[in-house]
Amino acid sequence: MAFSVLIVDDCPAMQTVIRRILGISGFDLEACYFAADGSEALSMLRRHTVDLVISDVNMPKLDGEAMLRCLSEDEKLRKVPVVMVSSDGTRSRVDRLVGMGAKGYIVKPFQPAALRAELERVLEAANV
Amino acid sequence: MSEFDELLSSATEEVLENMFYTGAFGPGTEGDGPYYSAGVSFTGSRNGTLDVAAPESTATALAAAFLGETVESVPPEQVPTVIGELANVLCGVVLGRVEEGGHFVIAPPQVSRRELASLARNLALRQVFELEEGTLSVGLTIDVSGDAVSPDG
Repeated sequence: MAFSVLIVDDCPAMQTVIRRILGISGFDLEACYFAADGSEALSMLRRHTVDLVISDVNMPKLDGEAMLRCLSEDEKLRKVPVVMVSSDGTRSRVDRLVGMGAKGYIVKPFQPAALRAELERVLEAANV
Repeated sequence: MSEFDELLSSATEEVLENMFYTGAFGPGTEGDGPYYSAGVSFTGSRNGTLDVAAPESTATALAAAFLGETVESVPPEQVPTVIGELANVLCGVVLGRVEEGGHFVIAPPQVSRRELASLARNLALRQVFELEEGTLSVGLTIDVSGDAVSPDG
C-alpha cells in the first residue's frame, strides 16, 4: 500500500540518504516531504496528510523531542507514527523518546537494512 | 594505547564501515591542501568537543560513498554537510561508549574549509587514519570535572 512520509533532518545529506534507502528498499511512496527542523515539520504536517514521520533528534529551532511533545498534544497529529533517527543511542534518550510516543528508534550509524526493518515494523503496527 | 585511544579508533572504524562503506587500514599522515573540518561540542554527563578533518578530495570521496553517488556526481554543497554529519554521528557513538547510561546534548556541527596549518589542534587526543580515500583526522577532548582527559587517559 502506498504511503506518504515526512523526513525531518537538519542535514540535507541525511535527508537524501534516507529518501534513497526508502527507494531501494522498495517502499511504495505516494509522497515524500522534507523538513529541516521540528518547527518546519509541524507546519508541513498541518498542510499535508502524512502516514509516517522519520525524524532526527538534535536539530536547531525545535528539536525532535520538542516536536514529539507538540505532536502528542495535537489531537489530529498524535496518531501519526514517528520513527526517530539519531546519533544519540544512550539508554536514557531512547527510553525518554519512546515514552513520549516515538514508535521506533534507529541509532546512527545504521545499515540500510536496519532502517528498512524498523520502518516495516512500525508501518505494520500502524496498519499502514 | 589508552582506553580513549582504543575507543576513538573503534568508533571511527564503525562509523566509516556503516555510513561510508570504507575502513581505516592504519595510521595516516596529514598532507597539505584545503581541508574540510567539522567540530561538535557536547554537554551533559560529560562535556567536551570532537572534531574531524579531511582533505577536500577525501571529503568528496566520503560524501560520494555516503550519498551513493560518484565523486564526479556528488553535489559540492553536500560535501561539508556530510563531514558535519560524520562528526555528529561519531560523537554520538563515542559518547554512548564512554557512558552508556549518560545523557548528552550534541550541538550542531560547525563546518569550515581551511588549510591544514590553520586547523585547530588543541584537542587532548588526536588520531589520523589512513583510508582508501585519503586521510581522516579525528580529535577528542572530554572534560572530567573540568579537567580534559589526556591521551594517556
